[in-house]
Amino acid sequence: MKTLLDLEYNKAAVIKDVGVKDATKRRLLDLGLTKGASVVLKGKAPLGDPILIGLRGFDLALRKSDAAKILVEG
Amino acid sequence: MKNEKADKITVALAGNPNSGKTTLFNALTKMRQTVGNWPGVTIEKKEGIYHKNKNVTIVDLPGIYSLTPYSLEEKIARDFLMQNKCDVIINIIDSTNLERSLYLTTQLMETGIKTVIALNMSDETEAKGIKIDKKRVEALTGCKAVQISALKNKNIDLLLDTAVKEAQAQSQKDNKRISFDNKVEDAVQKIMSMLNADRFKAIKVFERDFIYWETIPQAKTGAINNLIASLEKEYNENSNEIIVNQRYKFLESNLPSLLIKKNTATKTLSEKIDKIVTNKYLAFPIFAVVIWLMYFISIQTLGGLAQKGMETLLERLVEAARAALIKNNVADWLTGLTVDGIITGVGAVLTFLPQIILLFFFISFLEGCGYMARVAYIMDRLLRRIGLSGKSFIPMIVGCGCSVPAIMSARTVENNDERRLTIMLTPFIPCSAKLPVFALMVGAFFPDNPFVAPSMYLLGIIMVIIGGLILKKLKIFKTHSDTFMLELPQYRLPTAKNILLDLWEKSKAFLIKAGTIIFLASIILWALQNFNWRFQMVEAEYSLIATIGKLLEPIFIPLGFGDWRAAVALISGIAAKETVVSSLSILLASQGNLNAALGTIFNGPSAYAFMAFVLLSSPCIAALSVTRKEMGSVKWLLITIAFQMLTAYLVSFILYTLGSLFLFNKWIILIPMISAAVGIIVYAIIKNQGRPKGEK
Repeated sequence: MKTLLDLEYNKAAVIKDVGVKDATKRRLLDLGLTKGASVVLKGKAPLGDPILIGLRGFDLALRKSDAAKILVEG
Repeated sequence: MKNEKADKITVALAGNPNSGKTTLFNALTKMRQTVGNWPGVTIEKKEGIYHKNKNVTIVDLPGIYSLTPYSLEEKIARDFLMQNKCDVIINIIDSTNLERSLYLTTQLMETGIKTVIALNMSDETEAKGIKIDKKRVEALTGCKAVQISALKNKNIDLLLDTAVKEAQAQSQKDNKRISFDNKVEDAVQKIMSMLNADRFKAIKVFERDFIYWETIPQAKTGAINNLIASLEKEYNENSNEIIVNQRYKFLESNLPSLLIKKNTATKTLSEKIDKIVTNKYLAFPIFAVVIWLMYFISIQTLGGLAQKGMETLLERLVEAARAALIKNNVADWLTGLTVDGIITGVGAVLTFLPQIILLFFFISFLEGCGYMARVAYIMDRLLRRIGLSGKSFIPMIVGCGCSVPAIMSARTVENNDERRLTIMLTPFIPCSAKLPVFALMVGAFFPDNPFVAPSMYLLGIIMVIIGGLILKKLKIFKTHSDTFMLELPQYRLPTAKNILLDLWEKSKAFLIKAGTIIFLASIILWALQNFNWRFQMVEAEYSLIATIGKLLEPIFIPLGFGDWRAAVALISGIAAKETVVSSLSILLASQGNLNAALGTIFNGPSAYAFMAFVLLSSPCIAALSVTRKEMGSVKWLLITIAFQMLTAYLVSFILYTLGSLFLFNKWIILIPMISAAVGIIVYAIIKNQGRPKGEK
């Protein structure tokens, strides 16, 4: 299955599973990164990490290590 | 309810980070709390009085995304709301970010605290072609809603009137609540009856929120745990996720009806700017140019010109004051105190006002436009090497202004060890009080070099990284977080009014500091310089301060400024860093022109080493006391001071030695060799740190 890291720029995808744990998971959920939410990859930091995603109308930066645990479809 | 109590109303401002709470707070109270365009500007609870009715107290809270806190400052906000300390909440909603803002609202609805919704930035959404149907928002949430623009002062009095009326209403209005799936709803009802708890607490227990879970009687934990576990199994999600998902589903299904017009997706200006400033090749050069411009313009070009004028003015003032006092037969000591002590000491610092105002202007602009969060984003990868995250860089930019708020803003760094490390390293970034020292030395020794002043900032960043690496090697800090999650806000052009008010506020603080701390320090220094320990007036060479200074003199010989006056100036910097400048001016006053007099103590390399020492040594007493408070113990304060002093000494020594080699021995070849060696060592350490865990 694809993760957030496999996304192509500006192509919408749907969150299938948020595989991170504990406080990080709670925070991502609170920010609206829930199952079924639509996301797009918007950019990468100059050193390749973190990445920038568009979510529910705002931009969120998160590290690749977390993004790799978030499964998407589409 | 007693009458006198009924008159007093407390209104709490709650909402997502960066939704405009402090802007609204400033508009309602006519106070001037710091605002900025990044999440986490406000890190403390602030109270103020409504300027139109002194019975209404407004409380500004740090931003929160939910009622389960994630970092220190969010805990402050949650605790305040949960302890029922307010009569009514104004829930500020960023209209450009409606869905996520309302997610917090769905939780506030359950607390039973009266709530009024402020749809902020309504003008911005309208410009984008989106209109929010206020009536529908009210129907959905059961709360009164008012469309406002905190920035443009639109409807804010109407908002407050609505909130006050709501607070005064006798009936406890039963707020609307969102309902969950039947199964979840059943579980919540069961928990309510088992614990005899209200709905809010039952949901929190269901989510296994630690604070509420702890309050359950031991005998009932088993049954409740089983109840939750069976649902978790069925949904294949943990209980917290079940609740969050259903809240967002509720919002998703209702959101379209709240919007009257929908905008069509086009590339926003923010996206275009981000394409450039976070570009793979341009991001770091752009950051370097921004910082270089900030220091070059403030200290040299514009600021330097203005300072020259101020200096001439001060010299004339000194002469005129001395002449007037002598003419009126004022006692010698009093003339000395007034002219060589107070006017010289305080004046020396005041001449740097233009440069400081310029620096504040740049900082104010940077903080207001939204670039700060981007810098955190591009820096994260580098800072991770030393056990920090990009978020630690925000305090470091705040630190260009003053280390005190910078150290406090480290609260937004979630991991405790990371927060401590950030506090230890943040003072390496030069604060505005160190700027007069640099400006003085640059003016005297490197007037035509455009890179010396900005190089102090570069040296600060390099030492943050090297210092961080060393502390990591020493294993003082055991844990670090593996995450970085930061919302990048839309860029905004800071309003002229906001920048001007900010400049006025900060300049005022600088003038007050000059009139109090530096004024006092100048008097004390003058007295110590003119008396011996038997309180007899003597030549400076034999004074009390010279005796102390000469004891310390040898320590600074390896750094190139083994002179008691330099030592005394550095010590006086504990009071405030500007005092270094006023002390040097007072101690060298008898030698006429300050620049020429400085030449008798320093040369190029030692002047640079002196700047580096001021840059890296422990900050002023105010910053140290905040360090003690934020670190939570004296032990950590002492570790911090020892680390900073040692770093300052070693780096100054290396710089002086290299500089002298270059200047006197022309062994230029040594410099690239040594730099290369240092570079290789640092690279090796970084490389080593970069390996994944588990690899030895």
